[in-house]
Amino acid sequence: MHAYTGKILYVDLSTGASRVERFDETLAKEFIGGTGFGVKMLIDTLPPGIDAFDPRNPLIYAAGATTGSMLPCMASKFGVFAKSPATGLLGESYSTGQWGAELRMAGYDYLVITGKAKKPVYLWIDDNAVQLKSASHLWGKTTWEAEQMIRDELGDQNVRVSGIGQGGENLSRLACLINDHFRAAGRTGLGAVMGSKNLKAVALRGTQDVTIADPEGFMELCKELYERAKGPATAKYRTLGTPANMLTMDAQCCLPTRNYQGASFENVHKVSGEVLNEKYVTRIQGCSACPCRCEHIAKAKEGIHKGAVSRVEYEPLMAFGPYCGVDDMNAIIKALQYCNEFGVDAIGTGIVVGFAMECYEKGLIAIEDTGGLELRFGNADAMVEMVRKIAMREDVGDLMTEGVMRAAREIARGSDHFAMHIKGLELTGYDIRGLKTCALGYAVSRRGGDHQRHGSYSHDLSGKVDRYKAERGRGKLVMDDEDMYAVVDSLIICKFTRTIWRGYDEIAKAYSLVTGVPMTGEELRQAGERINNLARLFNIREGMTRKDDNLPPRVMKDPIPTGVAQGSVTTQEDLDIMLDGYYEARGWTNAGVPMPEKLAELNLSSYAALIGEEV
Amino acid sequence: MEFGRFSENQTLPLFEMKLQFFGGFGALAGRSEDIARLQTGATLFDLLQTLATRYGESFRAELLQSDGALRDDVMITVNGTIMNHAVAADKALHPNDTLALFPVFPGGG
Repeated sequence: MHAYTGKILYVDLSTGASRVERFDETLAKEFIGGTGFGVKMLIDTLPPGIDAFDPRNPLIYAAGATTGSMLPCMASKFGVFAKSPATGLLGESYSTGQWGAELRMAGYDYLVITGKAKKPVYLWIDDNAVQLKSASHLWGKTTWEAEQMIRDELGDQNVRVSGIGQGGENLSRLACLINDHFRAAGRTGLGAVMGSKNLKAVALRGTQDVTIADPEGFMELCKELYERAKGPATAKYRTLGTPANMLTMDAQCCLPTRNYQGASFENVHKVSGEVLNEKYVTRIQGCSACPCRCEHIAKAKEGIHKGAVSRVEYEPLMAFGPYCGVDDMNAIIKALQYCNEFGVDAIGTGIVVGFAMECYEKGLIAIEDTGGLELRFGNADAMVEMVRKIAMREDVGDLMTEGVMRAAREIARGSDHFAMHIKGLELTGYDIRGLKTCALGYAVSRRGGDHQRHGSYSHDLSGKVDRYKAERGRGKLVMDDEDMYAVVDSLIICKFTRTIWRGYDEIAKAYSLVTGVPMTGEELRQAGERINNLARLFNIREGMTRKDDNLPPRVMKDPIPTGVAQGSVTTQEDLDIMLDGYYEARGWTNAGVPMPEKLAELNLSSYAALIGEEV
Repeated sequence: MEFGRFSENQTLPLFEMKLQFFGGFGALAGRSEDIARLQTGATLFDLLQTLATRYGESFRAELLQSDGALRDDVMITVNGTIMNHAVAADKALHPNDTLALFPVFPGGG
């Protein structure tokens, strides 16, 4: 095999031991890399039913199949996996920048960390040399401080660091992993898994070559893809970037506002992508081997938050803007900087703050709980301070850092009605009351309330289907989306550039040119289906049932109050119609369990025992 | 400006409709709103083809694929209703209609 190193590095923090094992072409061909590798490793190594903070929960890093090569838009990404502290199910998140390429150049496709160190440490991987180094002096530092201190003490400013801030140290279920300053493996609380192991960071330096199976064919493909990636298909990411979605979602009543009490925001023009780029963006930069360059870095220009710096994308802008009723861009940038520094998920944290604001306005939490903050919608400075309190577990932040599902259980008094999560993961920036296909995608997403495992809003927003109508046929649409996304997240292709590709056949050809592993388009599609079925088996094993493929009560009962989608809800009946169609398309039982025949078709029969009592 | 398949036929009456450009469409058109003056019988296909010509090559590339078909990641609404790409071309336009063009962004990680 080429591109792949074929090596897995295992590190046990309890004993300090490390070892390298090899894997063969069969694993590569069937599970590709990234998501596929992560899911496979997790189900094979995690003892069933353990707590996410059990030292045996493996924290898994997996490079994409082509990470570290110069293949445009496929050279930089990596995935992180563990049992999620937020959902108790599959935890997965993806990041980009330079860290993933460095892992491969250090000689590894996989990094699997188990155990728990007695005292804070960081893992230093310098090609073949693997060391645990004391991090006692780094504990309590922000991700930015720790990254720089590690580089300084190692005497190499090119060391790449993926690590946690105070959020992970404090076992916040919103905690994430930050690398390259602004890049996050943000979702499902994986930073808390690292924190539970007394691990502050993984630092890397790699100097090894990434080999290519067919250099001549590969270079031709690279030239072609570079041109496409610089062309019109990605132009919008280079110009306004994803924040341009603000006005689009607002106009279509898809913009979650004030904790889903509304779907459009009266001050959206103050927090639009246009305003962001005109007044606040100071530079645009790119990832390893990417000609697209989408990363918009913004700086607060005035007021008490002047000087704050963050990368800004649509989702976190939504979360700290309309979702909290805030129209102050300076405060939003500061909140995002806090998320990066303290290492908490910018999407989930914004959703939690919005939930806390509604609790405050409804009298479910009081000013004594907030440490004196008037936590009302629109109070920008209170929002910023709540981010800090959540990361530090101060005042009501100690409860909110558990996420809205657990916070609502504790607060009770009807707060679960507006706790906007699925499977324990906070929702993202599409109001799914008026996007029926997308609502199904959210309900069945293997990691919880999320658009990134399916992207099914595209059917609703392109008008290919009636966005307000629930039909069984949406199940097949979502399934196909999920399988393609599983391939995308295994290779790993940046989703911003997936439109430059012309289907499975072309992607399979690229894969074979790079790796030398024969692959057809159909084999690649089936690998995506295999990965999703194995992920389903993992979640079933950890206790998930059909009732967890659900939607928050507010989505099902509180209609969108105004605008073009006024009156829209996605009811339980709507969901059941679409769920039945989805399970049928998948070849699963009506309870959402893969049938033995499906497992056999996907070469997953060795896992059939997991569903023995379910079918 | 004047649009429509019957632009050579001056016997048909004209009507006006409003145009709204979101995201990159606004930047490429140099404005967020405009007025189109169309001739009776004009369809959405006529209007989009003419917009693509009117506002230049970059605008065209943001709207259409190289074969002239609509890009999948473009959302088109007429009077707030999302148009199905498969049947949008034949949509008849009427006085005081509002057409809006939006980019749709597949997201990150």
